[in-house]
Amino acid sequence: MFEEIVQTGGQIEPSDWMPDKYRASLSRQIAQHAHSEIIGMQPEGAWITRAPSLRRKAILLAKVQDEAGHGLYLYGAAETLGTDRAEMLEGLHSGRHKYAMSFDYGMPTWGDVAAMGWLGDGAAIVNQVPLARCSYGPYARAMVRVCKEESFHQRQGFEAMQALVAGTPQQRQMAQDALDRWWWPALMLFGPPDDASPRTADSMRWGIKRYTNDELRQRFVDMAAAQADVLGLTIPDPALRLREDGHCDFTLMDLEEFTANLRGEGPYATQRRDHRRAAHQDGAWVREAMQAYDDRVVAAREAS
Amino acid sequence: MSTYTEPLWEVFVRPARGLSHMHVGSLRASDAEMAVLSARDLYTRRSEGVSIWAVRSTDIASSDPAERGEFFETAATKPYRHASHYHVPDGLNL
Amino acid sequence: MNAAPTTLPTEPALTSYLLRHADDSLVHGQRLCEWVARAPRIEDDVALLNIALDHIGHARTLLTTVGEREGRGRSEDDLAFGRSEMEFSNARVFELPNGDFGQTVAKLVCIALWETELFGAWAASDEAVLAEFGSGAERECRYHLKYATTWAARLAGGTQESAERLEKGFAAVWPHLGELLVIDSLVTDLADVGVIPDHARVGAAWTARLYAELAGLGLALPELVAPAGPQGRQGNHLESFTSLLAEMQYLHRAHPGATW
Ligand SMILES: [Fe+2]
Ligand SMILES: [Fe+2]
Repeated sequence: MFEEIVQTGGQIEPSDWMPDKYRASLSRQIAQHAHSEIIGMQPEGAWITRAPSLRRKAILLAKVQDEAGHGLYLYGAAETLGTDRAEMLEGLHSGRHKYAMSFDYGMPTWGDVAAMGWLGDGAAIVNQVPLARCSYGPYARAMVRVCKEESFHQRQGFEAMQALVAGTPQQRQMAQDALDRWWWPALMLFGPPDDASPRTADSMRWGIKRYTNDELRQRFVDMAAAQADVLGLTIPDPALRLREDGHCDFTLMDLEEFTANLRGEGPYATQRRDHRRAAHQDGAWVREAMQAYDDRVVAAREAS
Repeated sequence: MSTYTEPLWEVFVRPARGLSHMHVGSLRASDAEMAVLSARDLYTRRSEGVSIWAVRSTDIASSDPAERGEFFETAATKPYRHASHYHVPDGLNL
Repeated sequence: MNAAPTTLPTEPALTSYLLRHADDSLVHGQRLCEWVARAPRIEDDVALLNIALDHIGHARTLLTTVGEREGRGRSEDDLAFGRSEMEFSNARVFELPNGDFGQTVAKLVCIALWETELFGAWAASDEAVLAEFGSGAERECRYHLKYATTWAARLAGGTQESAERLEKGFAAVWPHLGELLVIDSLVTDLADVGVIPDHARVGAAWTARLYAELAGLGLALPELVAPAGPQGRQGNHLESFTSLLAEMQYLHRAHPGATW
C-alpha cells in the first residue's frame, strides 16, 4: 500500500502505515526545516528596528512574522508524525537538531537584509516548490502555504536590492558587498553535493524529494545569474558563465567550510542557539502560568 | 524548567461566506480562547477567512485506516447511485 | 455640535494633534518590534509583531496626513527619521521600555483600552480625517485589547510568579498613564469647535474601563491624575527615548537623501 502510493506520486497521511525509516527521515527533515525558519528570524528580525524607511519596516515586519508562521506550520506538520513540539524545541536548544546553517552567517548591513530576501528566500522557493508535491500530505500542504508567502519575501528582497543599486554609490557598494557575503551561503542552502548526500536516494525513492540537491542548486544559479545581471551586480564566482544550453557553469561552495558549518562552527552558530535558548528560558514562567491557569480555571469551568 | 506542552488543536477556517470550514493545520494552545487567537494570527494574516473553528485534536473521532476497505471501497460497486450511470436521449433536459 | 470644515481656523492645531497620535503609534510600534525572536512562545512572536505592524501602519497613515497638511513637503519618513527627541510629541507611556512579558501585557492592556476609546470617538467624529482613520484603527485595537486581556487573565490567574510579574508590570506603567488625561489648550480649542471629540469624556470612559479591567484581575492601583508640568507631549521624554530614536533613525540619517 505504502510503496504503491509513493511510487505513483500519491500522498501518505498521518494515520497510514509507513516504514519507520520514512517516519524518522521525514521527522528529522521537517523539524530541521521548522528550526531554520525560527533561527532565520534572528538576523533579519534584528533589522526591523533599524529599517531605513517606514515602508521597509512594515515589509520586514510582515516577512519575519511569516517566518515565525512557517516555523509553526512546520512544527504542526512534524507533530503528525508523533514527535511533539516540546521535544523538537529541546532538540534545537540542546544542539541535537540541526537547522539551515546559512543563518549562522552575519548580517552586518541593511544590504544583507535585501540580499537575504532575494537570494535566501529565492533559494527557499526553489527548494520548497517541489516539496509542495512531496509524498507526505501534511508537509506538502504546509509547503503550499509557505511557498505563497515566500514569493512575497523574494520579491521584496529583490526590490530592496533594486533600490540599493539605483541609489547612492554607498548604497550600491552595500548591495555588492552583501551579494559577496550571501552568494556562498545561498548555495549551501541546497545541501551537500549529490555524491556526498547519502540520504538522497531514499528520499527520492519515497517521494520526499523530487529533485536532487545539485539539480535544485543548478536551477537556482541559472535564475540568480539572470537576476544579478538585471541588478548590474557581480556574482563573486569568476567561473560563472552562461552555457549555450541556457544553464550556467559555476563553482560549488567551499566544502570544508560547509562541513565545518554542519558541525556547528558557523560564525554566529553559538550566538543563534544561545539567543533562542535564552528566549525560551525567559518565557518559562509565562508557559507555567498558562499551564496553571489551564489546570485551574479551565478545569473548573469544564467541571461545572 | 517546565516541560509543559499545550494541547494540540486542529484549525478550520471558513474562507468566505457560503463555504464550509476547511481544515488548514494545527497549533498548540493552552485553552480554547488562546487557540482561536493564535489561529487568527497564524492562519488568516492574508484575509484567508471569515470564521475560525478550533477543535482539540484528541476530540476528533476518526475512521480506522485499517478499515478503509469495508468503509469506503464498497461504494465503488454501486455505480447506479450516480446520475452519470444513466443514458439520457439527446436533446432532453433531464 | 456643528461640524467644522477642515479649513484654516483649526490649523495648524489639528495637524499638531494628528502628529501627537502619529508619534504615539510610531513609538509604540517601534518598542514592540524589540520583541522579535524573544517572545515566550513563537505564537506570541507572531501576535506581538502583528500589533507592532498595525501601529507602524497607523503611524504611516497619520504621518503622511500630517506631511500633506502642513504643506512643507515632508514625507512620512522625513517626519519619522528627521526629527529630534524634542520634536516628538508622543505621550511617555508609548515609549516606555517593554520590560518583561508581564509589563508588556500590562502596557498593552492600558494602551489598547485607551486607543479603542480614542479611535472609537474619532470614528464618530464629523471630521473626515479622524473618522476614516478612527474606524479602521479602532477595529484593530479591539483585537489588540482581546489579545492583551486574554493574557492578563492568564497571568493573573496563573502562578504566584506570573501574578506578581503582572502586578509589577502595571505598577511600572501606571505613573506614565496620567499624561493621557492632560487636556491642554490644543485639545480644548479643537474640541470647542467640534473638530475633535471631547477628551474629558474619552478619558473618563477609558479610566472606567481600565479600573474595571484591573478589578477583574484582582488588582488595585491608585486613581490616575493628570500630571502637572511638561511631559512627552511637550517633547519632554524619558531618558531611554534617545536610544530608541538612535536605533530607529541611524541608518536613514547616515545616508541623507537616499531612497530605500
Ligand atoms: Fe520561510
Ligand atoms: Fe521567507
